[in-house]
Amino acid sequence: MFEQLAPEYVEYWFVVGFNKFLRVFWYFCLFEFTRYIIIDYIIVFFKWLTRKSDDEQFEQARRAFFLENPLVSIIIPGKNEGAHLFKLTKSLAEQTYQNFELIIVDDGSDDETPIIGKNLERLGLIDMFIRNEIRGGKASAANLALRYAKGKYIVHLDADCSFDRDAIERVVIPFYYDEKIGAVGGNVKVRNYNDSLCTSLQAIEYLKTVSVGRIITSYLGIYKIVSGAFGAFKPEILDRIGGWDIGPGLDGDITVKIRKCGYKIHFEPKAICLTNAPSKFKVLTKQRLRWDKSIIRFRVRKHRDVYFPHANFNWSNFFALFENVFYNVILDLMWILYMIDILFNYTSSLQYIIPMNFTLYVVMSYVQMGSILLFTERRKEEMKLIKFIPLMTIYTGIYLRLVRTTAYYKEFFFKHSYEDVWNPSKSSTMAKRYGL
Amino acid sequence: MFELIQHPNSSSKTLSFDNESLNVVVINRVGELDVDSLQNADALLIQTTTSHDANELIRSIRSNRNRLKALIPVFISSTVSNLQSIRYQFDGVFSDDTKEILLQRLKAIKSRLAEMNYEIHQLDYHQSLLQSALQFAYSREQVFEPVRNRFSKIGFSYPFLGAILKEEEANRVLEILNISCTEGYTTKKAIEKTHTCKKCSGGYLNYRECCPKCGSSDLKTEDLIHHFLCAHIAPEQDYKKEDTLECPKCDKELRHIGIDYDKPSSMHTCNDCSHSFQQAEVKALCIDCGHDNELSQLGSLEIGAYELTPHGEQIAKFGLHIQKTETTSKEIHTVSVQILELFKKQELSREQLEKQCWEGSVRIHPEIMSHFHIEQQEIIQKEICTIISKYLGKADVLSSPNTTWYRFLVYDKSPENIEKTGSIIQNNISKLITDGIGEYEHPAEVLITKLDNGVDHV
Ligand SMILES: [Zn+2]
Ligand SMILES: [Zn+2]
Ligand SMILES: [Zn+2]
Repeated sequence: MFEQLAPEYVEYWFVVGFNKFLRVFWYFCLFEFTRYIIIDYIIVFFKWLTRKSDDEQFEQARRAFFLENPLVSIIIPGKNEGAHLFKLTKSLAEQTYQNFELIIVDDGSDDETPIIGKNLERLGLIDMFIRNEIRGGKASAANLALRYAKGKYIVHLDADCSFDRDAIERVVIPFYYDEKIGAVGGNVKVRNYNDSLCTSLQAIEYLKTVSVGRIITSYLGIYKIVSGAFGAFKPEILDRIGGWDIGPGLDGDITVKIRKCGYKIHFEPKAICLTNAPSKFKVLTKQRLRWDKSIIRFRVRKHRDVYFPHANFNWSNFFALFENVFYNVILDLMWILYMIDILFNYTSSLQYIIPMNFTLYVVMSYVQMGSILLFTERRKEEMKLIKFIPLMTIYTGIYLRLVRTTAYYKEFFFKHSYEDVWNPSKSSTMAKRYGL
Repeated sequence: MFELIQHPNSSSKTLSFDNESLNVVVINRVGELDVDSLQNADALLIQTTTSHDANELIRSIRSNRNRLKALIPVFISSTVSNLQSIRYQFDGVFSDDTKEILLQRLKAIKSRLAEMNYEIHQLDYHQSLLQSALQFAYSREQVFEPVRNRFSKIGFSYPFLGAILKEEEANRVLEILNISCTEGYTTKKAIEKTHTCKKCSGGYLNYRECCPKCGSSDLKTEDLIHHFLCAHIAPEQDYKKEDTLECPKCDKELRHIGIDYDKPSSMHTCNDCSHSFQQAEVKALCIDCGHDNELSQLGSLEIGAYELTPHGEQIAKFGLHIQKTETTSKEIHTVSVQILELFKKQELSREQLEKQCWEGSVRIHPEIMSHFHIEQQEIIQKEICTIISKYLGKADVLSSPNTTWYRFLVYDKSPENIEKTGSIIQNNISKLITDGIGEYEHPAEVLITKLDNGVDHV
């Protein structure tokens, strides 16, 4: 019966046997399946085992937090974000935790932002609106906000995000779990997942890499990026490391710096912020080129010391960066090797390999989606994304890989990120000169 | 030429012009001003030592209730100290060089004053001021131009009205002038705009940057420095190390603005509550009453120049109520005294009075009417007739033999009703008169008697 239903290419693999299957799909079995299915489900299982004590720990921390009622400084650096500001203040006014100050830094906007910001400040909807006439880049804007923040905790947000009602409370509470937690990352999801194919695919990607991926890395102690869109920090640590350095990729960079100081980074999946993803592939490509270049610039170049033995060497820092670099940079190269391997050694069986490979990835995507749905609190909405899953193979397997490879190539050989207009050239010139 | 003649009755001197008999009274001290003696003077020359005394004199001259005296030309001697600040209140500065000009001016004013009915008294104080102001402007052929004045509550003064009303009442000067404009007596040309205290309307405001949180004006302002290399940004103070600038984050020295660092903006910090902010709140502290105004609370005044219109000139010459005379005269049925007597006789001749008939009379104190010009008296007479006729029936008869005497016959009213009517009429007429000339005891007397065969109460 099975033979009648299964397509010919699947049947083929049953006939040739498991050993050949492993030989041909070594890349999939070794890296993708182990990392994204086996490890994920093992951790899901462990988390399920400890769910009761986790809940208790949360309740205890929450009580301590509300008892102390510390001032939280919400800082939002940005350029030309004026249009989002009013909505943002409204979103924050709905928060369950209200003892916060809101500091907005306008980094040399050339639109209405200064007028809007000043008005909101006068109306008392923003506590501090700081306008920089000259643009200094996102890092300097964040540092300026930090300089004037008075809170016990700093929450860094992007202006175009909106938040679940308990997001601020949830992103700060983990500091009460453990003294050594230096930063907490919030969960970023795609708000406009319905806008276009491009945003739907990104929504799935975010669920995989952010929502689930970070639960896993956080659990393993190798979580290495607190998103700029939504993260919480202890100001004394930020002061110690001098705040943010020049980007792009400054959110990943600051996380590594905090790790290097000996602090833990915690991911809080239930602190949820929604962001708008680029709805066109052209814009998305630009964004990803920038992000991917920063892996080379920061994880490979700037923070290369974590890979070598020295006084402050730390295994989890090593693994945190290594996992990141390995799964992005090294596997990218490995994929090319794999392609060559298949093309040369199995030229005659390509009609069985290509569809099978595709099938494996689609099936894996569905299985992964299963783990996403186990964790999520927006199950109903996210179920709608299931129909796009077959396309994810093309999206991550081909599109993102292509963009990534281009970015690595440009950054590795040409240090392309220093020309990015995302930073003012005065900062890039300096950063390049000093190899930052 | 002018020449000095000793004034016969006082220590002040009189200047006379040789060819013509123009009599200019010289006043050297505040105490010398004898208002009654102004009757014969053509002009006054103030020759006090200080401008303060001169100011006091011009105030008492211009506020005289007798308009003839209030509008007299007044010159100030060039020897008065600090006269610049008050010269706009005078008709000229007297010195050897200006004698001839002032003489011409004096003659011009005199002839214009002669054109006017300046005995006309108004019904209320403000209208009276307005009338005088219009006459002043007419006689001087002058536009009411605002003059910057450090002591005026709104920072500006006007000739004439500014001399009468105190400096704290500068707002009322504007009110009167604005009425003259809305009534069409003057046209207004905006010259300046001034902001005023919400609480006391004072124009003396101290504007300064304040902390938006606590309102303190004790602020520290610092430039922000952005170090390009490490993206550190903080107030300049954070970087200061002896004579150099050193980055507190990366310890590098900042040598060159534009290459190492720049100053993207600045921040204020409140020394009282240590709040940091960029947008200081500008507030206006009222020097007069101490109220700290938010800018949005401030009032605003338009300071304009007011020029007489032809209509305004008419008012200056003939009085404020000329037009109203015409409009109020209609629809009041009065009869001559003969007719009233006829009606009365008819009524008395009836053997039996079936209905009750009353005769009323209203007498206005003759002294009151002497306060008013003849034209004005007629207006008042008509107003009184209007008041009385309001309470009369269609068949009732009203007559006014003269401006102080009003008679009427009322048919068909009960004793209680007629008594009520009498007291209402008395009240309303008294109110009309006291509104015009101020408090007066028993301005009107109303007497009502029942018409009886044979008895005449009037
Ligand atoms: Zn620096
Ligand atoms: Zn203050
Ligand atoms: Zn005041």
